[in-house]
Amino acid sequence: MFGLANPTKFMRFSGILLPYLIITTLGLFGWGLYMVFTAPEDYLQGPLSRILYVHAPSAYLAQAAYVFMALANFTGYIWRHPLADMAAKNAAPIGATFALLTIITGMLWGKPAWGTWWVWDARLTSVFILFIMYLGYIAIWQVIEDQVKAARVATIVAAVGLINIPIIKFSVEWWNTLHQPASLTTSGSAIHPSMLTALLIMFAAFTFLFTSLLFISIRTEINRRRARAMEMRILQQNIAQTNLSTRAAINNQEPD
Amino acid sequence: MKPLLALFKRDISLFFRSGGGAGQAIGFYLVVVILFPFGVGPELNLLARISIGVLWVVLLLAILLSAERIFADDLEDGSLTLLLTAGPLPEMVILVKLLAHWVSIALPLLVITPLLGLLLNLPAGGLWPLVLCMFIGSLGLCALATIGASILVSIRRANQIISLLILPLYIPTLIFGVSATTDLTFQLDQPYTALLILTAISLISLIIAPFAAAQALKANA
Amino acid sequence: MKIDRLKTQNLSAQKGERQLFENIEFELSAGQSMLLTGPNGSGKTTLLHLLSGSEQPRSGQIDMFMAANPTEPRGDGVIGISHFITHQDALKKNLTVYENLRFWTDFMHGDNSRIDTALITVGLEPMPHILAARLSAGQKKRLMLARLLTVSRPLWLLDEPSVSLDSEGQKLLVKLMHEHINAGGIIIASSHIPLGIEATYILELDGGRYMFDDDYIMEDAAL
Repeated sequence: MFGLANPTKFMRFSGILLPYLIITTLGLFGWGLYMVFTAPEDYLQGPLSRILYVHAPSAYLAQAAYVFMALANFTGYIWRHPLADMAAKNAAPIGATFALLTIITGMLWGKPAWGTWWVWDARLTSVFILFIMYLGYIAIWQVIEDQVKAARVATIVAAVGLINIPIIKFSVEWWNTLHQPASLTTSGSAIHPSMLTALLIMFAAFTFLFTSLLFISIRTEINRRRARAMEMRILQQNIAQTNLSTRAAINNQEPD
Repeated sequence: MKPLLALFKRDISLFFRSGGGAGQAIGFYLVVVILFPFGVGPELNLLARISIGVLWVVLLLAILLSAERIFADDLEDGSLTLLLTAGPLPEMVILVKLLAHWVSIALPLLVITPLLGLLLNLPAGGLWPLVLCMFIGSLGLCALATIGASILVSIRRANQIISLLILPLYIPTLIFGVSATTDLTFQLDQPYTALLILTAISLISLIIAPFAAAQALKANA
Repeated sequence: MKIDRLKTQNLSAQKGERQLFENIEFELSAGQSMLLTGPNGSGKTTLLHLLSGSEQPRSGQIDMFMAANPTEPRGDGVIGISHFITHQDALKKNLTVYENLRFWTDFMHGDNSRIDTALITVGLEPMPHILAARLSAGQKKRLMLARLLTVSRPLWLLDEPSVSLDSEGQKLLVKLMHEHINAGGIIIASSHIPLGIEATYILELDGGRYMFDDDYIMEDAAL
């Protein structure tokens, strides 16, 4: 795994892997969506229950991406691998997108089910807070220009966040039971085996989607950094040349 | 102890000497609390119902919005470099600065809570539970604010981002702070459960904060 | 607390994606001094920060050997062993001259009873109760130097110490540095002008190179 810490190797390796990843993702989505629309409807909620096939996998990925991000950060912090830092940095916006998708699908489900777009339901609230945590983490990378420094600081943010996610979940559930219990589940209705299969395929499809997006994102960042390093080098050469010619000019002016 | 005591005294006297000091903190609390009845209407029952929550949110906001000040001045004049390397352990230095910040920001609020409670028609018997729970909770809030401030120490005018970073971390304290205050005020069936959880959260925050902040300050150097 | 020698091995530092310097090695014994020179941005200040412990090197290590136990490096490393005069004054505008000096003396485990003499030495004795905000740049520098007198530290790290000092102040600085060297201390100073003391060594830093070349990463991955 550490061999991949070399960007050149990573670029070569991910370049070969990426087409297969994308094909697998598309295939899984095709299969999964087919299953979703042929699976029997939940008898309580009707077609509405199909939102769950998008909602549940994105909720899982929103959380898994945070854990992945924190682990990548730790790897970068301890072994100082720039590539691990880049993986963490690029996982954040993807994780945030999945969190947002969870919130949006939750709201779409909520309007017909609860009669309102937003209910301070324990799970939705937790994901909402997770989304804010992603925004804070992304902001760190944005405002700290020195990327080496940003990586170290981001690790601390991710670590503190990781400790807090279970505490936040626990307290939100406590708070929610004090007030009004309501939750986005199909509990109470039996899950048909074909529904479960469809759900599992969608989980796999989302995981592959995450991996593909992450690879694309890291590749873009490496290319961007290379371009900048090249720019810097050219700039430095120009400065060195100017210095030389200035020096030469001064030397020529000297009487002896 | 002498170095840490010197730091504690210095931080507090600096706070009270600069731009209004305690008056500034108390002014902020008064302004927010006075605005509320105008916003939600003067009905006493409604005010009584929301008073505990409002006072907690005000405390939280005050600590959130002042977080940046914990390290900003010391960074600006170069004191921070010396504070972290020339004396006691950085973790201890951070803990002392955290406590000094608590004395400057949270303590004034606890002192004028009786007055604010009066303005918001705080339920009878609610004053002592509120002061006790805020005392415990505010220590944890200051600890988390210290983490936020250390993370963004090298960024100028970082208050909005610090708020974004710390807000999620404040939610458990807010939930259990309000819950503990309510339980104690109305003597519900298990009045101490929430208080114990609140204390645990504050203690964990107080223990983690110096280490996390020391790491963040080192990374930001 | 007396120092025997200071030794660095393999010291490297980076700022952002720029490599400042690599594999700096030197050894200074008690009573020796070193002058850092080099163009702006070459890492003089960063090297001093590494030696003070306020920044971490990218690689390499710094060992202090104390006179009490010259065979083994000091356990606490560089922490709490040096005076660091930076280009920032570390003074609080809202505290008086006396309060500022008193704070740093207490904080650094110095000797309170030396404050008055220190103020006389640096020429600030007429104004102990004036707020630091009202001092001139040169007076602030003198107040910073007073710290060197109230707190004994074997290692002095001075970043452009003569900046904003008048000729009188520079003479004072030279005198203090001589006394420190004669008492068996070590001084590492950065300056682009002659400091007025005969440095044992001169370390010249030249600019670094930019990271994120592929060869750099390969090197990094091998670490």
